[in-house]
Amino acid sequence: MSTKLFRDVVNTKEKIMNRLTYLTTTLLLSIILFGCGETGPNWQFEKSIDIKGIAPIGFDIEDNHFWISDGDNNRLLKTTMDGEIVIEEKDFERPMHLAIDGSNVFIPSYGSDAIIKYNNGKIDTVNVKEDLDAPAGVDVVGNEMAIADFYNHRILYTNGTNWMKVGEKGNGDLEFHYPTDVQLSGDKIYIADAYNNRIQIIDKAGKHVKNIGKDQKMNAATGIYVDGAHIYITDFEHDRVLLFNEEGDLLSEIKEGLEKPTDILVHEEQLYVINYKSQSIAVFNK
Amino acid sequence: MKNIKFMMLATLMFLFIGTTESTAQKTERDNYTVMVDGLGCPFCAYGLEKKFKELKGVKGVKIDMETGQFDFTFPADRPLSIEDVENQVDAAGYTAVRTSINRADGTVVKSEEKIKTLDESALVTEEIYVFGNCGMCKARIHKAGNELEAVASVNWDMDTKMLSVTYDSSKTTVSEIEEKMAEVGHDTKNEKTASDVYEALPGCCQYERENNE
Repeated sequence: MSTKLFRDVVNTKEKIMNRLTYLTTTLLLSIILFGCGETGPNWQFEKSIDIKGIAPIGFDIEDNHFWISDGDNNRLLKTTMDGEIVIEEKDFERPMHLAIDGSNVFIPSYGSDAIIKYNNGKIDTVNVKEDLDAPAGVDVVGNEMAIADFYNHRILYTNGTNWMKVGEKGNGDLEFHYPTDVQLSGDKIYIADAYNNRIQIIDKAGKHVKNIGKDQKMNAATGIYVDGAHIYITDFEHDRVLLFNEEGDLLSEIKEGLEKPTDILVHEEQLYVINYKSQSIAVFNK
Repeated sequence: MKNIKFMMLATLMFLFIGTTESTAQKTERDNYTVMVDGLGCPFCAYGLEKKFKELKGVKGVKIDMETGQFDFTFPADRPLSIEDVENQVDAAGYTAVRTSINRADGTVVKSEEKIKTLDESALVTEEIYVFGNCGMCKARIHKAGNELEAVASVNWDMDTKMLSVTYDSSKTTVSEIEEKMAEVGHDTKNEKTASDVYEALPGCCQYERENNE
């Protein structure tokens, strides 16, 4: 091999190595600066559904209709997806973050310290093995039920047979400061720990799993929704929704169309947020 | 026989009238209206209603979150005073701005509004950092400031936490104003609230304290 040819081979090899080093460095820097690139769903504001006259605290969707708890007016309402009332049930006492399981609507009755089961006009009180003080949120999956017991600063959970109570007033792990909403997902219970301004996750044996969102300086974390991969929380005083992954990393902040949001859910590829102050439902598309 | 029938009828009528009068007395109720400042968060505002329900006999509760108007009725034979009502509002962590009572007998009782006369040439304006969170905090901070005889006006900014206060510098000091804030539950840079007072604040008002206090 001639000297010139040898030099050309060496130069080419150096160029390739330099290029590889550059690409590797760029990739590493991207990972450091932007994490793994996970941003979560890119929700875009689509429209606002007017529900004037309703002061919504909690809601859910069933059979292409909203069920809404109208806290100020002590009503449980069923509306069309355009916000037109089709069922109005009065005489509830400050209904809060409700849940639907099958054909049953479960409503925490803050004013009467009870969980109410509503089914096609029939109203029953759920037998809870502990005294509640202003229940603010409930979730039901089959025989399982979790309750955010607001003034007792605790979470109640039943697997259908036994009841578990977790928490006391405070800001440590397994302590709560006025929990307002709760959701069961997989083997965990997700809690809107309202005035600790965070999400707290516990397992169904009552063990602490994780706290999320404390660094985001929320002011009243009021409503929670979990879709398996993402956790959504409404930040009432700051008119926003925060979206986290399971690790607790903030993925995005949603502000458009929100005014004192109290509850949130994802249904058929759309995100819905109810606004207590503007009496509306904000709808977002991906 | 006729006499016996007459006697029975008379007795029944007497009993009926007596029962009706007694029911009327029992159902007579006073109407109470309290203007409550800072009713912004429903989760805590419904707690105000809950607090009043501790007074057995409270009915017809209405809360208007926009205006802060809180209405209820109470048995006329157990009248509450303006002070009773405002103390109950305070106990729930809220701030009563003014109260009026329409008694069942037609009399009307209203809370008095104080008029201050201050020497304008002695007025100065200072800014004080006051800890707090929400609209309810703002209402409490404003009321506490206005209760001081030498304070002309106050304005607390929820975002910056700065309290702009105009006062008669010949009659009070920033130190006294800070003490007043701490007395009602709000730390300043120089004055700390007693733990039991802080703990009694509604959930939304329990701001993060410095030095993990």
